[in-house]
Amino acid sequence: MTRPLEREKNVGLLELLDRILDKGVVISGDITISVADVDLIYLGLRLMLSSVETMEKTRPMATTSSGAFQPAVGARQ
Amino acid sequence: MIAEKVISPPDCIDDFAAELERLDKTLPRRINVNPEGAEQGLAKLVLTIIELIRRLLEKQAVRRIEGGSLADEEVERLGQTFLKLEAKMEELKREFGLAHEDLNLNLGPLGNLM
Amino acid sequence: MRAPGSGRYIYAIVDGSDQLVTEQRGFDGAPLHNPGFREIGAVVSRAPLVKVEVSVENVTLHECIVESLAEDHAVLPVRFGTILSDDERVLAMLEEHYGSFVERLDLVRGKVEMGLRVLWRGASVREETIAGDRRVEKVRVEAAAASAGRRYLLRRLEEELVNRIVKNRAELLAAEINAPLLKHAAASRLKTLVTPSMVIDARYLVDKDKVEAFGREVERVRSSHLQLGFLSSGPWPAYSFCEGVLANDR
Repeated sequence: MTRPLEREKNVGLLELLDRILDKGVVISGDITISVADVDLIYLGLRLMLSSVETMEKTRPMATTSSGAFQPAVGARQ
Repeated sequence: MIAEKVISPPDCIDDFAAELERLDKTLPRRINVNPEGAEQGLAKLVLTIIELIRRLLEKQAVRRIEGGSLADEEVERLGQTFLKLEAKMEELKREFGLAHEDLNLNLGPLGNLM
Repeated sequence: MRAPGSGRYIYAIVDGSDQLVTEQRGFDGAPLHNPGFREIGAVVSRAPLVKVEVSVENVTLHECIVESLAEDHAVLPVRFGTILSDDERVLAMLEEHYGSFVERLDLVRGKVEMGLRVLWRGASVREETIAGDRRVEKVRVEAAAASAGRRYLLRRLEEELVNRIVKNRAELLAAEINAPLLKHAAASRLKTLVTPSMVIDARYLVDKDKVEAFGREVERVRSSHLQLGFLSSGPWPAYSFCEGVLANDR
């Protein structure tokens, strides 16, 4: 069982990490901890998803009778 | 200094610790792509992408069902396909020793994948 | 103490150039300096061009420096681990983003960030939703009687319907809790359901001399929501009010 102060330290550290590693001014520099190869792929995934969601809202996909997906022409949700 | 940042720690501080750790795991910086963990790191990445696509497709199908624009046989056939995909995903996760939570991913404004 | 590297580790953007009021030292004991462009500057120390380890010691050092600067300056904390190759690059970066830096520094001047996270019993909320919604009930009944493929998709539909209702409840709760707190803050950043249990993840930009009043308001809100868990943290430098990725390499 962790002592009370330990828990506060843990929680405090997690709160600090949330800010110092994922917030603050982001400058893509020559060396950063967050812009690594794998992370760029995840960033790309996020962007892809955002654009799919946006696309979805304006132009929902429809299936043809064969089951293939294609954008619905002119249809709005 | 760090412990002082928590103001009047609540009784449920352990619950908060658990949730914060859960959140911490969903972010890219925790991915281990060093030589020993490289295979698992890549498997995790690939499976996460597959999981993402799978969920998008399922969401699409659900919307179609809600809208009532799918015939019964189509619904059954789609459902069967998704069942198989789900089973395949479970198999792949087992093969690479990945748990459900390992494929969680923070999608920014869209929240977490899982 | 190793010989300093050729790169510049950046801690923060401040509203001051060249003159720094601090005895603090950066990583590996390297002194801090503050290359400036017009009236703003970037607080840096010389560091080798390698990744800095994410350790408790290192993040604490970075945080201490930012907090110390915040005593006498308006400060935009920079994300941990950012290193540019030399002072020229730093100055070019400051010049390129001068306008938005000045704007953000004005926003955060004299203020601190206070964090508030709220937990609810996610499982109970879901159960109540399932029990209380007729449409959800209808889908459940249909699913139970359906063939395997159809049942799978109907279960997904049920999940989707429940998620929507729960999300709605979360947003109502967030609005209810946020309203009185926002009165004591200059700005807020709010997310709902960052996990099924963490219904609210909020950050508030509060005047330094209004922090106590803000805290009392949080306590008031908490005491009228005793079934929820509240976690207050702070004061922090305004990390959550610095958004936007700045691409510097050309």
